[in-house]
Amino acid sequence: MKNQDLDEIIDTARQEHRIPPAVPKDKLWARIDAAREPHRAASRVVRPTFGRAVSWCAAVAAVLVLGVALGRWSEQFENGTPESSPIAVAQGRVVNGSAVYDRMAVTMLDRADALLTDFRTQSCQGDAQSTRLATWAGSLLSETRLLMNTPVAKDPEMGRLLTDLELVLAQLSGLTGIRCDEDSAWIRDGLERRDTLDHLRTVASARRDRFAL
Amino acid sequence: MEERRLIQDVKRGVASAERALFETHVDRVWRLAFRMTGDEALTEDIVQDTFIRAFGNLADFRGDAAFSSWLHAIAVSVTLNVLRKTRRLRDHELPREDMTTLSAVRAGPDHDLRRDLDRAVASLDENHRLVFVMHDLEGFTHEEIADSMGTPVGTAKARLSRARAKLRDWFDRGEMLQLELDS
Repeated sequence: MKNQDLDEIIDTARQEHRIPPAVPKDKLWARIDAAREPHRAASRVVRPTFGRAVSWCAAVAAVLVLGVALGRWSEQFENGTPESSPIAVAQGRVVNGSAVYDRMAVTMLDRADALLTDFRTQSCQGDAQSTRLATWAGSLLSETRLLMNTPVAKDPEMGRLLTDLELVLAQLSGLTGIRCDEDSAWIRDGLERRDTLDHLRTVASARRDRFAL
Repeated sequence: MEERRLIQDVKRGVASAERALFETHVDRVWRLAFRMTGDEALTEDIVQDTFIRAFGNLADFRGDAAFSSWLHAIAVSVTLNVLRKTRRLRDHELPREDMTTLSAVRAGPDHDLRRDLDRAVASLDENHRLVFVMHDLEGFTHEEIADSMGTPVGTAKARLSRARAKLRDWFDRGEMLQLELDS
Protein backbone atom coordinates (compact mmCIF):
# COMPACT_ATOMS: atom_id res chain seq x y z
CA MET A 1 0.00 0.00 0.00
CA LYS A 2 1.25 3.47 -0.88
CA ASN A 3 1.41 6.37 1.58
CA GLN A 4 -1.16 8.17 -0.56
CA ASP A 5 -3.57 5.27 -0.06
CA LEU A 6 -3.04 5.37 3.69
CA ASP A 7 -3.74 9.11 3.69
CA GLU A 8 -7.01 8.45 1.86
CA ILE A 9 -7.93 5.80 4.40
CA ILE A 10 -7.18 8.18 7.25
CA ASP A 11 -9.29 10.88 5.56
CA THR A 12 -12.15 8.44 5.19
CA ALA A 13 -11.76 7.34 8.80
CA ARG A 14 -11.87 10.96 9.93
CA GLN A 15 -15.15 11.46 8.10
CA GLU A 16 -16.80 8.10 8.63
CA HIS A 17 -15.33 6.15 11.53
CA ARG A 18 -17.61 6.41 14.56
CA ILE A 19 -18.84 9.92 13.88
CA PRO A 20 -19.81 11.30 17.30
CA PRO A 21 -23.46 12.28 17.68
CA ALA A 22 -24.42 15.68 19.14
CA VAL A 23 -23.44 16.05 22.79
CA PRO A 24 -26.48 15.72 25.10
CA LYS A 25 -25.15 18.58 27.22
CA ASP A 26 -28.21 19.18 29.39
CA LYS A 27 -28.60 15.51 30.21
CA LEU A 28 -24.91 15.13 31.02
CA TRP A 29 -24.81 18.30 33.08
CA ALA A 30 -27.86 17.22 35.09
CA ARG A 31 -26.05 14.00 36.02
CA ILE A 32 -22.79 15.75 36.86
CA ASP A 33 -24.58 18.50 38.78
CA ALA A 34 -26.48 15.99 40.91
CA ALA A 35 -23.30 14.07 41.70
CA ARG A 36 -21.34 17.22 42.49
CA GLU A 37 -23.77 19.06 44.74
CA PRO A 38 -22.78 17.35 48.02
CA HIS A 39 -19.10 18.03 47.26
CA ARG A 40 -19.80 21.66 46.44
CA ALA A 41 -21.59 22.10 49.73
CA ALA A 42 -18.48 20.77 51.46
CA SER A 43 -16.29 23.21 49.50
CA ARG A 44 -18.45 26.08 50.67
CA VAL A 45 -17.67 25.31 54.34
CA VAL A 46 -14.90 27.81 54.96
CA ARG A 47 -12.11 27.41 57.48
CA PRO A 48 -13.02 28.93 60.80
CA THR A 49 -10.73 31.96 60.93
CA PHE A 50 -11.87 34.64 63.30
CA GLY A 51 -12.69 37.17 60.58
CA ARG A 52 -14.69 34.67 58.58
CA ALA A 53 -16.50 33.43 61.66
CA VAL A 54 -17.52 36.99 62.46
CA SER A 55 -18.70 37.53 58.87
CA TRP A 56 -20.72 34.34 58.89
CA CYS A 57 -22.27 35.09 62.26
CA ALA A 58 -23.10 38.59 61.11
CA ALA A 59 -24.67 37.28 57.93
CA VAL A 60 -26.74 34.64 59.71
CA ALA A 61 -27.81 37.14 62.35
CA ALA A 62 -28.75 39.65 59.65
CA VAL A 63 -30.88 37.10 57.86
CA LEU A 64 -32.60 36.02 61.08
CA VAL A 65 -33.29 39.60 62.14
CA LEU A 66 -34.50 40.41 58.66
CA GLY A 67 -36.76 37.37 58.63
CA VAL A 68 -38.29 38.16 62.04
CA ALA A 69 -38.75 41.82 61.13
CA LEU A 70 -40.34 41.01 57.82
CA GLY A 71 -42.51 38.40 59.49
CA ARG A 72 -43.83 41.01 61.86
CA TRP A 73 -44.30 43.47 59.08
CA SER A 74 -46.05 40.88 56.97
CA GLU A 75 -48.32 40.10 59.90
CA GLN A 76 -49.27 43.73 60.30
CA PHE A 77 -49.67 44.21 56.59
CA GLU A 78 -51.94 41.25 56.07
CA ASN A 79 -54.04 41.48 59.22
CA GLY A 80 -54.20 45.25 59.45
CA THR A 81 -53.15 45.07 63.09
CA PRO A 82 -50.09 47.24 63.58
CA GLU A 83 -49.91 46.13 67.20
CA SER A 84 -49.30 42.49 66.25
CA SER A 85 -46.52 41.06 68.35
CA PRO A 86 -44.09 38.22 67.91
CA ILE A 87 -46.14 36.41 70.54
CA ALA A 88 -49.09 36.52 68.16
CA VAL A 89 -46.96 34.81 65.57
CA ALA A 90 -45.89 32.24 68.11
CA GLN A 91 -49.53 31.64 69.06
CA GLY A 92 -50.27 30.44 65.58
CA ARG A 93 -51.39 33.32 63.41
CA VAL A 94 -50.84 32.44 59.78
CA VAL A 95 -48.07 34.39 58.11
CA ASN A 96 -47.78 34.27 54.35
CA GLY A 97 -44.38 32.58 54.06
CA SER A 98 -44.03 33.27 50.38
CA ALA A 99 -44.48 37.01 50.91
CA VAL A 100 -41.86 36.98 53.63
CA TYR A 101 -39.34 35.29 51.39
CA ASP A 102 -40.15 37.71 48.59
CA ARG A 103 -39.51 40.68 50.85
CA MET A 104 -36.27 39.15 52.08
CA ALA A 105 -35.25 38.64 48.47
CA VAL A 106 -36.01 42.24 47.53
CA THR A 107 -34.08 43.54 50.53
CA MET A 108 -31.11 41.36 49.66
CA LEU A 109 -31.28 42.39 46.00
CA ASP A 110 -31.28 46.05 47.00
CA ARG A 111 -28.16 45.49 49.07
CA ALA A 112 -26.53 43.59 46.22
CA ASP A 113 -27.46 46.45 43.89
CA ALA A 114 -25.72 48.88 46.23
CA LEU A 115 -22.62 46.69 46.41
CA LEU A 116 -22.37 46.12 42.66
CA THR A 117 -22.98 49.79 41.89
CA ASP A 118 -20.31 50.75 44.40
CA PHE A 119 -17.92 48.21 42.91
CA ARG A 120 -18.64 49.24 39.33
CA THR A 121 -18.13 52.90 39.92
CA GLN A 122 -15.04 52.74 42.14
CA SER A 123 -11.52 52.02 41.05
CA CYS A 124 -9.07 50.03 43.15
CA GLN A 125 -7.89 52.14 46.06
CA GLY A 126 -5.75 49.76 48.04
CA ASP A 127 -6.11 46.94 50.52
CA ALA A 128 -8.63 48.62 52.79
CA GLN A 129 -11.16 49.17 50.05
CA SER A 130 -10.70 45.66 48.65
CA THR A 131 -11.15 44.17 52.11
CA ARG A 132 -14.31 46.23 52.67
CA LEU A 133 -15.80 45.06 49.37
CA ALA A 134 -14.75 41.45 49.98
CA THR A 135 -16.33 41.43 53.46
CA TRP A 136 -19.52 43.05 52.16
CA ALA A 137 -19.67 40.53 49.30
CA GLY A 138 -19.00 37.63 51.68
CA SER A 139 -21.94 38.65 53.84
CA LEU A 140 -24.24 38.96 50.82
CA LEU A 141 -22.94 35.67 49.44
CA SER A 142 -24.13 33.92 52.59
CA GLU A 143 -27.56 35.50 52.27
CA THR A 144 -27.73 34.64 48.59
CA ARG A 145 -26.97 31.01 49.30
CA LEU A 146 -29.58 30.94 52.03
CA LEU A 147 -32.11 32.40 49.59
CA MET A 148 -31.15 29.79 46.99
CA ASN A 149 -32.60 27.20 49.35
CA THR A 150 -35.94 28.98 49.74
CA PRO A 151 -39.07 28.88 47.55
CA VAL A 152 -38.15 32.18 45.83
CA ALA A 153 -35.33 30.39 43.99
CA LYS A 154 -37.91 28.12 42.34
CA ASP A 155 -38.93 31.01 40.11
CA PRO A 156 -36.71 30.44 37.03
CA GLU A 157 -35.84 34.11 36.60
CA MET A 158 -35.00 34.59 40.27
CA GLY A 159 -33.10 31.30 40.29
CA ARG A 160 -30.99 32.41 37.34
CA LEU A 161 -30.33 35.77 38.94
CA LEU A 162 -29.31 34.19 42.26
CA THR A 163 -26.93 31.86 40.42
CA ASP A 164 -25.35 34.82 38.61
CA LEU A 165 -25.16 36.74 41.87
CA GLU A 166 -23.58 33.80 43.65
CA LEU A 167 -20.80 33.74 41.06
CA VAL A 168 -20.05 37.45 41.13
CA LEU A 169 -20.27 37.65 44.93
CA ALA A 170 -17.91 34.68 45.25
CA GLN A 171 -15.49 36.47 42.95
CA LEU A 172 -15.82 39.73 44.88
CA SER A 173 -15.38 38.00 48.22
CA GLY A 174 -11.97 36.82 47.03
CA LEU A 175 -10.88 40.32 46.01
CA THR A 176 -7.59 41.49 47.50
CA GLY A 177 -5.35 44.50 47.06
CA ILE A 178 -2.99 42.30 45.04
CA ARG A 179 -4.00 42.22 41.37
CA CYS A 180 -7.05 44.29 42.28
CA ASP A 181 -7.15 46.10 38.92
CA GLU A 182 -6.81 42.89 36.95
CA ASP A 183 -9.34 40.97 39.06
CA SER A 184 -11.80 43.86 39.06
CA ALA A 185 -11.63 44.22 35.29
CA TRP A 186 -12.39 40.55 34.91
CA ILE A 187 -15.32 40.69 37.34
CA ARG A 188 -16.70 43.83 35.64
CA ASP A 189 -16.41 42.09 32.29
CA GLY A 190 -18.49 39.18 33.62
CA LEU A 191 -21.06 41.58 35.07
CA GLU A 192 -21.44 43.33 31.72
CA ARG A 193 -21.57 40.12 29.76
CA ARG A 194 -24.28 38.60 31.91
CA ASP A 195 -26.05 41.94 32.32
CA THR A 196 -26.32 41.07 36.01
CA LEU A 197 -27.04 44.51 37.39
CA ASP A 198 -29.83 45.32 34.93
CA HIS A 199 -31.30 41.88 35.45
CA LEU A 200 -31.14 42.36 39.23
CA ARG A 201 -32.91 45.72 39.02
CA THR A 202 -35.62 44.37 36.73
CA VAL A 203 -36.34 41.41 39.01
CA ALA A 204 -36.25 43.52 42.18
CA SER A 205 -38.51 46.15 40.66
CA ALA A 206 -41.04 43.56 39.52
CA ARG A 207 -41.12 41.99 42.98
CA ARG A 208 -41.38 45.37 44.66
CA ASP A 209 -44.32 46.38 42.47
CA ARG A 210 -46.00 43.07 43.08
CA PHE A 211 -45.94 43.43 46.82
CA ALA A 212 -46.03 47.22 46.94
CA LEU A 213 -42.97 47.32 49.11
CA MET B 1 -7.24 34.18 32.07
CA GLU B 2 -10.95 33.57 32.53
CA GLU B 3 -10.37 29.85 32.87
CA ARG B 4 -8.04 30.41 35.80
CA ARG B 5 -10.77 32.36 37.57
CA LEU B 6 -13.32 29.69 36.78
CA ILE B 7 -11.04 27.09 38.30
CA GLN B 8 -10.73 29.18 41.46
CA ASP B 9 -14.50 29.48 41.59
CA VAL B 10 -14.94 25.73 41.19
CA LYS B 11 -12.61 25.27 44.15
CA ARG B 12 -14.92 27.57 46.12
CA GLY B 13 -17.89 25.39 45.22
CA VAL B 14 -19.57 27.65 42.65
CA ALA B 15 -21.84 25.53 40.47
CA SER B 16 -22.04 28.01 37.60
CA ALA B 17 -18.25 27.95 37.27
CA GLU B 18 -18.34 24.16 36.96
CA ARG B 19 -20.99 24.52 34.29
CA ALA B 20 -18.89 27.04 32.38
CA LEU B 21 -15.85 24.73 32.41
CA PHE B 22 -18.04 21.82 31.38
CA GLU B 23 -19.49 23.79 28.44
CA THR B 24 -16.02 24.80 27.31
CA HIS B 25 -14.48 21.34 27.27
CA VAL B 26 -17.24 18.79 26.91
CA ASP B 27 -17.23 18.62 23.10
CA ARG B 28 -13.68 17.41 22.77
CA VAL B 29 -13.98 14.90 25.61
CA TRP B 30 -17.23 13.61 24.13
CA ARG B 31 -15.76 13.21 20.63
CA LEU B 32 -12.68 11.40 21.89
CA ALA B 33 -14.70 9.02 24.08
CA PHE B 34 -17.16 8.23 21.31
CA ARG B 35 -14.44 7.63 18.73
CA MET B 36 -12.82 5.23 21.17
CA THR B 37 -15.93 3.32 22.26
CA GLY B 38 -18.45 3.79 19.43
CA ASP B 39 -21.13 3.51 22.10
CA GLU B 40 -23.25 6.47 23.20
CA ALA B 41 -24.13 5.11 26.64
CA LEU B 42 -20.50 4.30 27.43
CA THR B 43 -19.48 7.73 26.16
CA GLU B 44 -21.98 9.39 28.49
CA ASP B 45 -20.54 7.44 31.41
CA ILE B 46 -16.99 8.38 30.44
CA VAL B 47 -17.80 12.08 30.08
CA GLN B 48 -19.69 12.14 33.37
CA ASP B 49 -16.93 10.34 35.23
CA THR B 50 -14.24 12.52 33.66
CA PHE B 51 -15.82 15.79 34.78
CA ILE B 52 -16.77 14.51 38.23
CA ARG B 53 -13.19 13.33 38.78
CA ALA B 54 -11.78 16.56 37.39
CA PHE B 55 -13.92 18.83 39.58
CA GLY B 56 -13.35 16.62 42.60
CA ASN B 57 -9.56 16.64 42.17
CA LEU B 58 -9.15 20.22 41.05
CA ALA B 59 -7.05 20.91 44.15
CA ASP B 60 -4.39 18.71 42.51
CA PHE B 61 -4.35 20.87 39.38
CA ARG B 62 -1.33 23.11 39.83
CA GLY B 63 -1.75 25.08 36.64
CA ASP B 64 1.66 24.09 35.24
CA ALA B 65 0.00 22.75 32.09
CA ALA B 66 -3.21 23.79 30.36
CA PHE B 67 -6.40 22.73 32.09
CA SER B 68 -7.47 21.01 28.87
CA SER B 69 -4.37 18.76 28.95
CA TRP B 70 -5.06 17.84 32.56
CA LEU B 71 -8.71 17.14 31.75
CA HIS B 72 -7.82 15.07 28.69
CA ALA B 73 -5.41 13.00 30.77
CA ILE B 74 -8.33 12.15 33.06
CA ALA B 75 -10.55 11.43 30.05
CA VAL B 76 -7.91 9.10 28.57
CA SER B 77 -7.50 7.27 31.87
CA VAL B 78 -11.27 6.88 32.33
CA THR B 79 -11.73 5.78 28.71
CA LEU B 80 -9.01 3.14 28.88
CA ASN B 81 -10.43 1.81 32.15
CA VAL B 82 -13.91 1.59 30.65
CA LEU B 83 -12.59 -0.15 27.54
CA ARG B 84 -10.69 -2.68 29.63
CA LYS B 85 -13.72 -3.39 31.79
CA THR B 86 -16.04 -3.80 28.84
CA ARG B 87 -13.62 -5.55 26.50
CA ARG B 88 -15.48 -8.84 26.64
CA LEU B 89 -18.81 -7.15 26.01
CA ARG B 90 -17.77 -5.21 22.93
CA ASP B 91 -19.60 -7.05 20.21
CA HIS B 92 -18.90 -4.32 17.66
CA GLU B 93 -15.15 -4.81 17.89
CA LEU B 94 -14.08 -8.09 16.41
CA PRO B 95 -10.93 -9.97 17.32
CA ARG B 96 -7.94 -9.30 15.12
CA GLU B 97 -7.90 -12.80 13.71
CA ASP B 98 -11.29 -12.17 12.10
CA MET B 99 -9.78 -9.69 9.68
CA THR B 100 -9.16 -12.32 7.00
CA THR B 101 -12.72 -13.53 7.03
CA LEU B 102 -14.16 -10.04 6.94
CA SER B 103 -12.05 -8.82 4.07
CA ALA B 104 -12.82 -11.96 2.14
CA VAL B 105 -16.50 -11.12 1.93
CA ARG B 106 -16.15 -7.67 0.40
CA ALA B 107 -19.11 -6.70 -1.75
CA GLY B 108 -19.02 -3.02 -2.74
CA PRO B 109 -16.02 -0.71 -2.36
CA ASP B 110 -17.59 2.16 -0.33
CA HIS B 111 -19.60 0.08 2.04
CA ASP B 112 -16.73 -2.29 2.62
CA LEU B 113 -14.11 0.38 3.05
CA ARG B 114 -16.14 1.88 5.86
CA ARG B 115 -16.74 -1.49 7.44
CA ASP B 116 -13.12 -2.50 7.02
CA LEU B 117 -12.01 0.81 8.45
CA ASP B 118 -14.02 0.21 11.60
CA ARG B 119 -12.47 -3.19 11.93
CA ALA B 120 -8.98 -2.10 11.05
CA VAL B 121 -9.05 0.65 13.67
CA ALA B 122 -10.63 -1.69 16.19
CA SER B 123 -7.84 -4.20 15.51
CA LEU B 124 -5.28 -1.80 17.00
CA ASP B 125 -4.49 -2.27 20.65
CA GLU B 126 -5.89 0.43 22.92
CA ASN B 127 -2.79 2.59 23.24
CA HIS B 128 -2.12 2.64 19.49
CA ARG B 129 -5.79 3.21 18.73
CA LEU B 130 -5.90 6.06 21.21
CA VAL B 131 -2.95 7.82 19.61
CA PHE B 132 -4.35 7.28 16.11
CA VAL B 133 -7.81 8.55 17.09
CA MET B 134 -6.42 11.55 18.96
CA HIS B 135 -4.00 12.65 16.26
CA ASP B 136 -5.40 11.54 12.93
CA LEU B 137 -9.13 11.71 13.65
CA GLU B 138 -9.49 14.39 16.33
CA GLY B 139 -6.56 16.66 15.54
CA PHE B 140 -4.75 16.57 18.90
CA THR B 141 -1.11 17.64 18.66
CA HIS B 142 1.72 15.30 19.60
CA GLU B 143 2.34 17.45 22.69
CA GLU B 144 -1.31 17.22 23.78
CA ILE B 145 -1.27 13.47 23.28
CA ALA B 146 1.96 13.11 25.24
CA ASP B 147 0.54 15.20 28.10
CA SER B 148 -2.70 13.23 28.11
CA MET B 149 -0.96 9.87 28.14
CA GLY B 150 1.84 10.88 30.47
CA THR B 151 4.53 9.90 27.98
CA PRO B 152 7.36 11.79 26.25
CA VAL B 153 6.46 13.38 22.91
CA GLY B 154 8.81 10.95 21.15
CA THR B 155 6.84 7.99 22.52
CA ALA B 156 3.57 9.50 21.30
CA LYS B 157 5.04 9.99 17.83
CA ALA B 158 6.43 6.46 17.76
CA ARG B 159 3.06 5.03 18.76
CA LEU B 160 1.33 6.95 15.99
CA SER B 161 3.85 5.72 13.47
CA ARG B 162 3.35 2.15 14.67
CA ALA B 163 -0.45 2.51 14.58
CA ARG B 164 -0.32 3.71 10.96
CA ALA B 165 2.01 0.86 10.02
CA LYS B 166 -0.38 -1.65 11.56
CA LEU B 167 -3.29 -0.17 9.62
CA ARG B 168 -1.27 -0.30 6.41
CA ASP B 169 -0.45 -3.97 7.08
CA TRP B 170 -4.07 -4.72 7.81
CA PHE B 171 -5.22 -3.33 4.46
CA ASP B 172 -2.27 -4.86 2.58
CA ARG B 173 -3.22 -8.28 3.88
CA GLY B 174 -6.82 -7.63 2.85
CA GLU B 175 -5.77 -6.63 -0.66
CA MET B 176 -3.62 -9.71 -1.08
CA LEU B 177 -6.50 -11.88 0.01
CA GLN B 178 -8.81 -10.13 -2.43
CA LEU B 179 -6.33 -10.75 -5.27
CA GLU B 180 -6.22 -14.41 -4.36
CA LEU B 181 -10.02 -14.58 -4.36
CA ASP B 182 -10.24 -12.77 -7.74
CA SER B 183 -7.77 -15.15 -9.31
